[in-house]
Amino acid sequence: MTKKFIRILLVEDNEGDVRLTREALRESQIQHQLYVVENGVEALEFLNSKRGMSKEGRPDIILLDLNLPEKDGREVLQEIKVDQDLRRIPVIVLTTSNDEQDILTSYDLHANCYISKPIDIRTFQSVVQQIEQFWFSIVRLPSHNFM
Amino acid sequence: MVALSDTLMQVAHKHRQFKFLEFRWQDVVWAIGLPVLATILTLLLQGVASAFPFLIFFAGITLTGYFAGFTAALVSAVWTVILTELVLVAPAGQTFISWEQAMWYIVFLLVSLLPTWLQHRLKRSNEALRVTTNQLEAILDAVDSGITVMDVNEKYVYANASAAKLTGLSAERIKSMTQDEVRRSYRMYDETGNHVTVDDMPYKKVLRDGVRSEITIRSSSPYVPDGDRWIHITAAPVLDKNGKPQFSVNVFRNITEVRQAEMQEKELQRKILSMARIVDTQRQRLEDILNTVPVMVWEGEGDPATGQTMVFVNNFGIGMLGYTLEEWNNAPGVGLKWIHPDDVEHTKRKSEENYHSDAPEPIEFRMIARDGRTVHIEARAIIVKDEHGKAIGARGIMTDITARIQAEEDLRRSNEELQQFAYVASHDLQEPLRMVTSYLQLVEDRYREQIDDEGREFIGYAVDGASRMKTLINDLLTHSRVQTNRERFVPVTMNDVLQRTLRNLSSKIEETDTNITCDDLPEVLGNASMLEQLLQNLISNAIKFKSEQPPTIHIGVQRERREWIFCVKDNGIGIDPKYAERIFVIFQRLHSRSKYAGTGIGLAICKKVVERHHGRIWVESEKGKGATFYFSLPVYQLQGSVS
Repeated sequence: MTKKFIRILLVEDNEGDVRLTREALRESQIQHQLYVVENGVEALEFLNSKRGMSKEGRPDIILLDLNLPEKDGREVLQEIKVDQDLRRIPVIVLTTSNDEQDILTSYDLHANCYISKPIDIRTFQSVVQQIEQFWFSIVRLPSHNFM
Repeated sequence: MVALSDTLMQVAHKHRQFKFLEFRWQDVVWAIGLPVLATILTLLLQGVASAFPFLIFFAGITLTGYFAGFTAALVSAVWTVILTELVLVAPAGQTFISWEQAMWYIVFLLVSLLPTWLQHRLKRSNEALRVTTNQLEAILDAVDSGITVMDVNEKYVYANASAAKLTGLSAERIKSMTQDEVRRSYRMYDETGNHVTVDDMPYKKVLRDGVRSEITIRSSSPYVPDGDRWIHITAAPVLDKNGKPQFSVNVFRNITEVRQAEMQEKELQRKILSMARIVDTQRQRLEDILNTVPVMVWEGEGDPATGQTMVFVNNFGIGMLGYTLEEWNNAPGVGLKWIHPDDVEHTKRKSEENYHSDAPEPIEFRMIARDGRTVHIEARAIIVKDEHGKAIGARGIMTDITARIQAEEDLRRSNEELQQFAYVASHDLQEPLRMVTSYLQLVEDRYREQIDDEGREFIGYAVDGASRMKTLINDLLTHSRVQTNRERFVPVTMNDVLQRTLRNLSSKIEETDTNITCDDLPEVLGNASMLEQLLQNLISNAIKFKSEQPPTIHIGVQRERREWIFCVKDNGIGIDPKYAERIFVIFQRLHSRSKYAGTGIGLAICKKVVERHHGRIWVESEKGKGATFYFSLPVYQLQGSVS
């Protein structure tokens, strides 16, 4: 289990949140690589650069904030999920919003799950640990080599 | 008249034939017998009256003429000559008569026939007079009108058959009538209803003044069973050679039927007139209404599919767009050119659909008024059809809905802004808050050693503040969403809503050992999540403000006319009645935050939810004796439900 190496793409414009996520992941038991992009455009650029021969660097999971500058999380989600190549990558919407409409939109766009960021740091840490536990340990992720 | 004169001619002709061509047997007896009798008499009286033999023969011929007529007398005269020749002269031995004798015979014949001829003439003229009188009577009896003749002594001397029929008396009985009898028997009134007496009868005037007179009366008499009759009487004088009235000829007719027909016609005319007045009043009323209503009312003639002529536009309609009736008619397509270019297609299509539909729908479009304004119109029209179902016209109204459209637009915009604000509040306000909390906690965790107790307390206050701020924002959001939520109401089973609420509150209920009872709740029309919020706030309040004992809460319902009155009754600390109104105002708190946590928005949300559902909310309580919150919701009845 610990032999696994997980690539995580964090799409988040708030540096405070990036740091919190990083801090929470620091205590993770799983070997991982965290890529951080600040907006939707960068997110898609990053994903597109990992096509074809360079599939190697493709993330295993995406943590996506909804409200982003330039291109927001909903558009990013939509583009990923209509893309034959990218849509197998699980996308976890991790956002401050607990707006009903945001939740519905995200699932309509085939988000794999939707998590509201808790206000309390200890809860947040627990949430990140549970994401890790569930998505990295329990869930069997698709293998890129067969794409 | 032609028929009558023909009849008279026939009667006269028959009379002539009878007199000259037909010989009655008794005439023959007279003509033969009397000369024989005269001869016998002459022979018997030869000695006594030999001086007058001719006188006896004259008498015989004259008598024959008198009884049997001129022709018989002629026969009788010739027979006398033959008889005297054979009986008186021949025995004397003379075979042939002499010239002298012949002369005497001729004289004898002429003299003997003269009186008979004169008498015959007189008889003929008498007969003619009799026939004429008969004819006249026949004519008079044939006439419809009653005719009587009265002499100067006011005695009836003649009455025709119609007179008898009309009076119900025989002609003889009429003739025996005295004026007193007439006065006693008849009740008479004139056209204005005034009493009329015998003295007012036209014959009085005729017999007095000798001039023609007439009157129309309503009369009743015991001789006629039909009751009152309208009679028209005309009287004309017959004057003597001195110009004095000798008779009054009275002609009277029963005009009851004519009069009734006249009355009916008058009544009919009166009715028509009053009907026309009603129609006119109605028309005026309709027109007044049409000119008062704040919508354009119009009427067009002709099949709308092939082109119409506007025949009416009310005053408001003319003012609404500024076009006169003439301008409507001169505009191609009757006003089509004033429809906003973007709306023409859809308006045409909808009109076409309505033309073929039994249930035409209103059409919304924009029109350009004379002054250039864009007017939003809602048009409704019906097609007028003749008895064969052919379209012959259309009527309709156009309502200026510009204000409504603008209000809707404003509302939509304001709702959008509110939603945007709500989103900003839920996301953008919370993110910095989360940063504050998270990093303070991170500091607390990471630098535990460096921070003393006081520092940790400070951090605690800061984190608590931020946390309450988050609750506040969420509650405010809920509050604002109650207003902005424009979802349609649907039937909601309150029992289900309550069960969900109790599930949400289950841990709280267990912790506080709360006992909850409830009635069977009805179905209402509303928004389930809002109603859930309502019950949740009320029940959690009831738990929160509990007294020393474990909370006991009852959720009940009662129907009052068109409303369901729900109640949430607790045994908690109660509310001073003077605060009964204040507690529903946003941010109003009755207790310190340290004693009872809360934002002061919960009951304000309840109030908003209830009001959104067209209900009311209130509280009945006494301090220390529990509180009962009531809220009403309209009774919802399923359409078409039989029970």
